[in-house]
Amino acid sequence: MKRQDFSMYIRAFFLILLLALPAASQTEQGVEVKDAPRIDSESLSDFVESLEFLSKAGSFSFTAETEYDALQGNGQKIEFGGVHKLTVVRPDKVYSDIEERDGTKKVFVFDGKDIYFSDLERNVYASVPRPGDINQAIDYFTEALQMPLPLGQLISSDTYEWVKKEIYAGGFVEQATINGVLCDHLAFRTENIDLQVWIASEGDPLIMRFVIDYKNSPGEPQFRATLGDWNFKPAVSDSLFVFKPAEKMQKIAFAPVLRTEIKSEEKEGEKK
Amino acid sequence: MRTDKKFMVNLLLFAVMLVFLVGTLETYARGRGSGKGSHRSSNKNISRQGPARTGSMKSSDFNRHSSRSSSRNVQRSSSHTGSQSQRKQKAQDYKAANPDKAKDFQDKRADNAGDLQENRQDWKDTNREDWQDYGNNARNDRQEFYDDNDYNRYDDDWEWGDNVEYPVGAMAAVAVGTAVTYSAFNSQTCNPTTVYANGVAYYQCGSTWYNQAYQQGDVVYVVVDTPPGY
Repeated sequence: MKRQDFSMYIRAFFLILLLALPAASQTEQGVEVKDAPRIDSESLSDFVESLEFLSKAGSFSFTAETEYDALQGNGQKIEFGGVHKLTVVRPDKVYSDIEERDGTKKVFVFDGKDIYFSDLERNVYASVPRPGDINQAIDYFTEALQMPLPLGQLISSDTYEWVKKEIYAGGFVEQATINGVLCDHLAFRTENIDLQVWIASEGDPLIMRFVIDYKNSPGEPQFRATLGDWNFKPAVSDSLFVFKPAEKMQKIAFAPVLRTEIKSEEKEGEKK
Repeated sequence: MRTDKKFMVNLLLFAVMLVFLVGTLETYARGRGSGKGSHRSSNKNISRQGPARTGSMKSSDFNRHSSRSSSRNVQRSSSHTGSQSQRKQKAQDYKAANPDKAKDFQDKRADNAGDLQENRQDWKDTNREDWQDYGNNARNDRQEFYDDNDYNRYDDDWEWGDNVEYPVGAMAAVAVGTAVTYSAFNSQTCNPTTVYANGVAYYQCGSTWYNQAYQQGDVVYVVVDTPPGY
């Protein structure tokens, strides 16, 4: 190799290094602060504490205003949202009514034995037996039945364990006021999502807002929820969890259950 | 001759002014008609689906694309209603019976054609395999009886996403287990009849039977086998 060539390579190497430096330093911004631990343990503890606080509450109710982005075929993100009112009685009762912005009303009920989900606009409901506690019901509803229940994980009593396992980076951002409540704004990262949470700085560690970024999904859509009306002594009657279909309400199936039934019928048919 | 030319120029100017005036009045009338307080129905072409709708932190709740693709393949392979040629035949029969509607589809497709290339995303290639067995013609069929259950299917060819409405009557044969959106079902050309078997409502459109079901938070119509006794 000629000396001139070698010198050219050296120059090229330093040029590439120079160009790469700003990109490298960018990864040190945000919650992954340079020369600091990837996880601020105090912030993670605060988040875990807020989830544990909810998991230990015997009964409570709250309201959440939610928003989410839906990516369209043309690449534009469109925002939808609604208001959710939840009442929880541990270990096995949940009532949630959902009013979407377009006026559609839906109700989710879990009474310890069955899950019900109804759509008042379409005048239909579906139910499926699922004896167990709230965690099992929510997991079954969102995973096996593939139904959305945006605040389900918040009321599951084991979410804090998932948080401890999955969060690999994060820390404190600032103190900010949400709906008149001074909060600690925290930001965390997992492999699949980025998460921001606002927790009341004083009194009970109530979650006042959270934002999820689906960073690995096309368009990186967001889910946002602002929470309020927290009540840890709600006047709850047992009748709230007794699902009564409205007049002429039609019972329908959950699609995954229906497809399983179709497959088993086909198998039976083949045997015959 | 000169007078004729002048007359033609004046006529042309008059025509241009008339078109402009009509256009302006139409826009004004449309603006008045859609004022505050008037009810406007939702745009059915806009998708509400996506991972963010779940509001979930667990990837098992929102990363369902791979499992959905495979379930779609299962549905296809278990199709009761047969081959592509049968589907084409059925579509041709429909077009012959409903020339106006068929033309509407063609027009709409033509309008959207310009967007087809633009809207395709690179990652579409990874999903192309799913659709290969259907070929180019089947792509049209797919649009007509598309399955709205896959919220990761951003490779849709249409402007807004996967909620484009086509009458189910235009569909060719549909595999059992396929879901059709509520609005697509209700915009179909046939008048569905409802029968009850074992306490379950069955909706018949042509030779296809449906049950209502919940899919990812929405009410859809799922193609099912013929109910007992029918």
